[in-house]
Amino acid sequence: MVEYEAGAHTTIWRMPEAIETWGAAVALVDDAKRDAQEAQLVGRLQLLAERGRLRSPDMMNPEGDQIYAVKTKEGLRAYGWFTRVQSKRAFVISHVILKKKQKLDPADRIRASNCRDAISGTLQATNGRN
Amino acid sequence: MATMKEWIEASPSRKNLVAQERLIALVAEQIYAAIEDDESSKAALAKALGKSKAFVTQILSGTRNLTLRTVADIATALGRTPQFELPREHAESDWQPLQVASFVQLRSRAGVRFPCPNDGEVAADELRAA
Repeated sequence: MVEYEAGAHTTIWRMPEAIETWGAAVALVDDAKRDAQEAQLVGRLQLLAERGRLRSPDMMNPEGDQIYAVKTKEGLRAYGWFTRVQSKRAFVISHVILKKKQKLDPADRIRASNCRDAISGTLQATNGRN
Repeated sequence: MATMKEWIEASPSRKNLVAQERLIALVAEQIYAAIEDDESSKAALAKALGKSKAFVTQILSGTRNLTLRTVADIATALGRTPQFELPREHAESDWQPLQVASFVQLRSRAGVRFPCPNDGEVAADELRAA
């Protein structure tokens, strides 16, 4: 898990799969919109790190089982969950998809939940040391 | 790119795009917060503005490019005062690690006493000795 952005309120972390799928999802965005769409995702994650939440469901949506998707207009979705890492508030991104061009996998929430469950023991141990 | 900062700083246009997206998301977030705090609704805001609910939805999703006049109208409709600030970005070089020992020495030379929550004031020399 890699620290992506340390905001005033929350630190954003990326799982290794999030880094891989991020690049793959962005590559599927139309050339003309690619940088703008990635910037939209980055800008929203930056605000999430600063304020700890995004109220607009068009920007961040609960997907069930305490899994959230940070979204862009053209379909980029960064799935993750809130937790504590080293006793600090954290949002961990499990994976990223492009909704419109990659058929939405109905198991996306389960995929993020499984990722969370797989590392929850490690996170608890880390938080216990702090 | 390992971090958000590295991605943003890789090109000047990215920095601009992220600043735009962050501001759009921030305005939507603050409007949402005001609606929630007042236990109001998008429909009530639309009515106060004399606009359609779709207009408010577009504002809150970040898809409509707002003019300053519209932002002022929304703020007024919500009973708020619009405000614009340009806080300076802090360069990392602006921040220096505080060396406690140096700080104590400095205060000691100035003859300053430190307030202590349990025992009243303690002299800087006592702190240094401790």
